[in-house]
Amino acid sequence: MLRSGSGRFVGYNLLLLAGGVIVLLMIVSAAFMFSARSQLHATESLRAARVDRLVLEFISDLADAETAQRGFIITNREAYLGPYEMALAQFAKNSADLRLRAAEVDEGKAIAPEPVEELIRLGQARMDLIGKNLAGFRAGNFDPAQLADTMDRGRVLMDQVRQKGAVIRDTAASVRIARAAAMRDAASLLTTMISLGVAMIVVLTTGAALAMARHVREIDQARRELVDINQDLESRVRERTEAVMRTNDELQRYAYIVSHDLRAPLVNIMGFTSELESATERLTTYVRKVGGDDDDPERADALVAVDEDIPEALGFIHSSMKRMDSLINEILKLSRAGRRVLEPVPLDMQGLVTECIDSIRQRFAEAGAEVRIEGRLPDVVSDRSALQQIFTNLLDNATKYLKDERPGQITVRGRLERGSAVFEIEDNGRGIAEADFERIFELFRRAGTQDKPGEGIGLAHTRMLSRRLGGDVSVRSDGESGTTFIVTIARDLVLRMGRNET
Amino acid sequence: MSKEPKPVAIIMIEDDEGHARLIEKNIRRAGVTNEIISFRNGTSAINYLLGADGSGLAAVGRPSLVLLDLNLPDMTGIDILARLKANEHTRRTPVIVLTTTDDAREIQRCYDLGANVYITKPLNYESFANAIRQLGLFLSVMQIPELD
Repeated sequence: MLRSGSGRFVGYNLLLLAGGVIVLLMIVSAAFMFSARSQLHATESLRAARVDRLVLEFISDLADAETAQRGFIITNREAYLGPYEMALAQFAKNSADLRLRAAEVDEGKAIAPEPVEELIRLGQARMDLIGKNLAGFRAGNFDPAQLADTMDRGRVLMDQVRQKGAVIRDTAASVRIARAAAMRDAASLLTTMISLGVAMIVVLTTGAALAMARHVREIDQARRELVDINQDLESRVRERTEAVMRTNDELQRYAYIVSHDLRAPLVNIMGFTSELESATERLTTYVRKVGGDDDDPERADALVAVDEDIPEALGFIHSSMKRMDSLINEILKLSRAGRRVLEPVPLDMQGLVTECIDSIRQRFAEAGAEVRIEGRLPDVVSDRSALQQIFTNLLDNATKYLKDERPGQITVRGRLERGSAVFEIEDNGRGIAEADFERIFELFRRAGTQDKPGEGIGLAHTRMLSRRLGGDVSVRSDGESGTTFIVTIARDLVLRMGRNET
Repeated sequence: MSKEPKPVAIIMIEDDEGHARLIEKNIRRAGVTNEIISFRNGTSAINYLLGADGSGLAAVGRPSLVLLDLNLPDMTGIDILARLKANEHTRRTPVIVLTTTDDAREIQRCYDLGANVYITKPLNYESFANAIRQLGLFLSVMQIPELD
């Protein structure tokens, strides 16, 4: 559930991220485009302005030349001709400039060459007229009528020049206006696009934020569910543990009562068997003493009875009694151990197991076995005496059932697993057949070759104790190369026992 | 008051007929001839020991020794022991606890309540018979204190 939510979240975010990148790219490229076009508009606008300026200069030069001519004619002083000379010199350059620059505007499409050429031609004509007048005046052929005529032609020419100039300047101005308008449009388009982009980014960011918020909510929900599940699991584990402990307690009480009450009739059987024995002795003595006919078959029968049958029967009764007594004693012992109140304390398991090993070191030496603790054993809060018995039993077992042909190797290791501590006691002994895995933990049951002394009580005891410590014991073996006993106990018995025991 | 102390009666509280018989036989074998009064359950024993009114006055002037089994059908021997030791007239009466278990805590409890001797009924009959016979010898020399 969490996984799929997370996948969806990643998908959403990738989508939003991609959208954001696209929008940014669009804004950036629009800005670039705008910048390039603005540059073009500005350039064209400047070119148009230059043409405007050149036209003005052109006209102004002609005016200068005219003024100079008028001054010279009136004063007849050469000094007035200075501006004329300058204007004349400028004229050719200005004309070339004007032609060139006018052709540059909008690649020649805006200002047609004809009006420019016309303007230059008119200007040239004006300039030529001035030159001709001056030359005539200098030569002394001064005729007022002719002068007035040329002056009129000059004025007409000048008017035409101004008209043409105005036409060209209007054209240039319209180019500038058009370019300015284009720039304004581009700028507003850019503004629109940026606004749109910003709006989209806001939308995307909001989407991302919402997706994230939902994802966080989902995670939170999942976490809460997990906590619930954990709590449920914990309480179930505790319930189960309590149930197991209760069953165990009941079994212990039952075992105690049974063993206790079984002994009472046994005392009678034993007591009266002894009474029977002593009565038989008296009878035997009498039967022997009485004597009689050796051929009497009844007497022979009686002798067989007192010499053989009765002692044999009593012997079997005695040995069976003994066996039953020892079995009952074992049950009683087990039940007592099971009824003992556990005292959970913090335990250094490394130290505890080392003590157990030391306490039966003699057995290891006799068996030629080597025992070692692998790694560090985890510490627990549990009952010291119960754990000592568990480890001593299992270590003792390990040395007891080693294989003669190989040196014994016994390894103890431990680890923590959730709320439990798991310990393993591994040997390289004769192993246990899988069919016997459960049987060996039952009371008075044993497995394999019965060549070692024992009542079949150690593992039953170990199982009972492990269960009381909130765990269990199990076995793993391939039946030939060794056996591993796995003891699981509650890591903290106080915690595990919870509220039902204080 | 007579100068001769009254013979001590042995009050045996034991529900198992066989046990009672074995105990009696062995006591007799030890040469103890005191009267043995048997009870099969706790209620009748208490009635006898403390009297029908439960005051304990019935015990005055009647020296006795109690052989007590802990496992009784109607109450535990521990209850009887506690009541005997709590009553002013019976608290000096010696009580010998006879039982099948050797549970250390149970033994401790009996001594705490004031039991004088605790004997386990072992399955080894010889040792049991021995214990009973020795108990008989013990009874024959024992003085039962009595308040006037």
